[in-house]
Amino acid sequence: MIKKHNIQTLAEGIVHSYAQIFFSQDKVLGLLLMLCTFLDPVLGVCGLFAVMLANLVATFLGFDKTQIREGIFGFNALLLGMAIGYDYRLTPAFWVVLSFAILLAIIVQAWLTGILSKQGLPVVSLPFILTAYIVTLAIRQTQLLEVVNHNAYLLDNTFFNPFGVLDTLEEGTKSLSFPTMIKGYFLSLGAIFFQAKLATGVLVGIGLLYHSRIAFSLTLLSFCWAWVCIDLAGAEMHWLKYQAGANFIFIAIAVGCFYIVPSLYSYLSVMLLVPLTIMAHLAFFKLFSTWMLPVYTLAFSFITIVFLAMLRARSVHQYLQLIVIQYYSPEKTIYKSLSSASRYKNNLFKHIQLPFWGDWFVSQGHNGKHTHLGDWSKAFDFIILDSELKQYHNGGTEKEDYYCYNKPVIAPADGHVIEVVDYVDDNNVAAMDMQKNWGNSIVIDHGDNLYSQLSHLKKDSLKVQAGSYVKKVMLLHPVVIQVGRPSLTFISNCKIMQRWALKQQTIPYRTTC
Amino acid sequence: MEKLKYERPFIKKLNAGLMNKFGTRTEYTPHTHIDGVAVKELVAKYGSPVFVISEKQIRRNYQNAVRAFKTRYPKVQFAWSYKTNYINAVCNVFHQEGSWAEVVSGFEYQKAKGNGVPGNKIIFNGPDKTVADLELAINDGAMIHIDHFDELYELQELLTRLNKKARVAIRVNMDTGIYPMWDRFGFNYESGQAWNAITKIMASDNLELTGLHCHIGTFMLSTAAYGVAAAKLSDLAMNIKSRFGKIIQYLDLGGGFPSANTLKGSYLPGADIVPSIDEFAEVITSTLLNYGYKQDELPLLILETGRALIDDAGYLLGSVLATKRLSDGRRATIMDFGVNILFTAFWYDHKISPAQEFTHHTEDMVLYGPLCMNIDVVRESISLPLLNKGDQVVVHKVGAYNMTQWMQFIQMRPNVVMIDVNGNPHLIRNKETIDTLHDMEVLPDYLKKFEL
Amino acid sequence: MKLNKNLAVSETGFIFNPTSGDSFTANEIGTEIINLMKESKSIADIKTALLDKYDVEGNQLEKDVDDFMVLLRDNNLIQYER
Repeated sequence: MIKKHNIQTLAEGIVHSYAQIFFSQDKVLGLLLMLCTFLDPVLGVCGLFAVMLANLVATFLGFDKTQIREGIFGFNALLLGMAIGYDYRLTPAFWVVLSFAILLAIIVQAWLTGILSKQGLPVVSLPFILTAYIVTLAIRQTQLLEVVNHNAYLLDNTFFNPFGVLDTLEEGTKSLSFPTMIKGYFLSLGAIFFQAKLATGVLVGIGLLYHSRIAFSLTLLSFCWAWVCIDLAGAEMHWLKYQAGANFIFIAIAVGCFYIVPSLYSYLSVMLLVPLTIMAHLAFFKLFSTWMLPVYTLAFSFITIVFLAMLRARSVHQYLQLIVIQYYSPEKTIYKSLSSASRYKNNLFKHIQLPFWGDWFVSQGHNGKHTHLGDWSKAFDFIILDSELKQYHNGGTEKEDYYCYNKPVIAPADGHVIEVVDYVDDNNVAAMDMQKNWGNSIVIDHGDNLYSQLSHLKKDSLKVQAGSYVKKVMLLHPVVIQVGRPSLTFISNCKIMQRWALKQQTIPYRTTC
Repeated sequence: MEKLKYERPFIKKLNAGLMNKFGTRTEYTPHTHIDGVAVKELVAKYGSPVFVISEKQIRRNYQNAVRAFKTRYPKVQFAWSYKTNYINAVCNVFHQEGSWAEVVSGFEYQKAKGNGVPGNKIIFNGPDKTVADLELAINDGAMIHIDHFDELYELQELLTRLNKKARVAIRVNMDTGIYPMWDRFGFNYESGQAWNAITKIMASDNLELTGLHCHIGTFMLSTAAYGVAAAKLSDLAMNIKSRFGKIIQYLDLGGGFPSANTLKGSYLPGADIVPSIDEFAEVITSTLLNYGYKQDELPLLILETGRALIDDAGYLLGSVLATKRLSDGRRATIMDFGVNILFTAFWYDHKISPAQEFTHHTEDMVLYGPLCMNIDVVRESISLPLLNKGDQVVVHKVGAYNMTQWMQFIQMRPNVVMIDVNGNPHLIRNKETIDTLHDMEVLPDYLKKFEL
Repeated sequence: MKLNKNLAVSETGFIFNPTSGDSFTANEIGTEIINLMKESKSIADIKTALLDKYDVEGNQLEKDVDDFMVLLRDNNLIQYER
């Protein structure tokens, strides 16, 4: 009953599981990494087995096919497979234990994802680490599996010679001659796949460079900076450079260009987080050495998750921009982010329409010196003028002579009417009502803390109630006039505010016509 | 010895008690300039009589009307009614201000096109649309307002033959509470005739009903009728929407707004009783806005105002030919313009001002035109100061209909001059000469010779 | 034609006919003509005098004075003599 589609999904899931280690969906990188794992055949077989089993189980259990295809279930399993395959001899018992370990990994992954994704946080390699701890601790108490000894450990096997790595390094330098730091970088790349070979690391590096120049540069920068930091910290910590190398590489990609839009600030964040990662790693190393458990990339996982949580908890989101849509390519992410910022920068503003039909003039604008002062400075007064620039016809002694008397007023944008004043008498020309100097007014709530107030409206002519919903351009009122000052009879006033009471402080806002 | 200035000897009996009901000085101020140009200069240059149009006043009227409507309603369009005055210069002033064109005949249509109005901005009204006219209108995409069923059938036939579609509206007549009801034009609303026409159009493949048109009267003195008209058209539009799902794009309320001329038989002068354009705007727009249209389905409001925009921008300058005393003692003054070029003298008591300074003595007189016909009376009774042969007068508010309905009878038609916004006069229509007449006539050969 | 002798004429052109009780107003020239008629001048003389005094054409004056006579008769200010 396995359809062709399902086979394709599985195949893609396998390749993407490898690529996911470097936060990528690039099939070329995935295949290259798969090849790299097979440079140590044992690890290669274990890894592939783990990935395939994980994807099958996840499909069978009914997890989201898209996630399976993206390799999300596979990459933790891959790391787990390689880790266990590294430690133990391949006996029939081994395969059984590995299978159950994979099952556990999937359960743990689903559980952790359920908790963390609600906060908008990733699980990174926590499922692998947690499962590996449980399995290691469990197996140690049994005789089920036979432990393998490795002469030189690049990773965190604490009860073997931590300086053994230097021997390897010395061997290596005899054949090639480029800076130790760079060699260390490639060795760390290889160590991610539990291999001590420089060649592996170089291949992985090429694959990473192919996938993303940004990611490659970040990892290199991060590793070198960590190298320098450790040097500054003290000579006795040299071993840290190799043991924790993978952490610096992963955190560079995660913080620099995967969960955050790459920018100068993201690069800066990576630099700042490297010393923190060092500290975390040292701390975890001390903590878990009690139980003789390797630290793997726990420091990276921990620092990444707490850093992202910190970013989400900000109230002002500046400098670092969390990714909304994951394109699995830092280059594409930057491009999309920049282009949408320039295309949609106007969408930050609500579209506010001027509250009338036809052509009106602004008789007093923002910071007008008559009545637009202080808190109420960002308001507009509107009047109608004829072709001779007069506000009235027939002498201007009656309020009906003024052009703007009794003209319709419309809502500037969608919103709810929250306050209405409709009982103030209309003024006659040149009379000033100093107490109720707004006259009849309407306040509308447009959402997102934006309010508008329309004042100096005609008495008893309101067409909406408080609480009613108005759409943009809906008829509200015939206007009228009232006075703020003798020279400014007959104006209609419109203000945009941030809090809703009448007479609140105004803010400047743009209108679209 | 220097001779003194002469004035005609004059004696008038004083009547105690009975005052002139309008006071004493209504029409007596001399009108020596129009838009800053001296009347005497215009007469000297262009002859007498001569029509003078003020472009500044046209633009002012138009902008006023637009402002009255646009500040009350979101979508408004004016269309200049060509039959009111179709001199190209006048039409183009309106088009420059943004007005479309409204025509009621083939030649008006051609004039509009000739002025450069795009086909889809010409409204074609009227009961007389020949097949050729319709074909032209269809090809230009003009807005055809159908007047009667014969036209509807003809149009459908034509469209099928040409294999084209046309955007149409129907003219609707209705009872708006005024007398007389113009039920000779369009389809009747109350009897269901209009709905009948609408269903026919909706059922037709090649007609698209885009609007509804009505023109309820002329020189309307009550605004309420327009409210009724707007409501009845809206009723049709709503029914069309609910029955056919079709949204009507525009409502054309036609024209009929009055100017400030005084109608014959009216007790009060026109300026006192005529409602302003703002009042019409208020009634029409509030009816439409409150009718219940959805905000984005509000139809475009089209107005075909003619008279109200141009009447007070037109003046007629004339001269006195002679004065007489009639047998019953009344003074009669004979002018060089009469009902031949001032057709609206049949409808209005035009305000007429002397164009020069005068004394305060006035005389009740009757004004006749130059024609040798008894009906040629410009004013039955008007109080004017003493006028002599050769004095000029200015007739006010003649911009509408005179320059389209004038007759080529006994006298040929005079020059028409327009004064632009900077005060420069321009000749916009040449006066007719004997050649104008002769160019038209064809004399059969057998009549060329005679002996007396 | 004889002007009613009892007419009261003021300088400003106010004329009062005590016989009928009617009052009239006349302009400067009209007043002048009436005054000349009170002095029993003939029409022809009046016309000549006016031609000399005022800037007017003979035909115009002729017509206007004749017309004025008609007005006076209409207002019962002069009587025709048979």
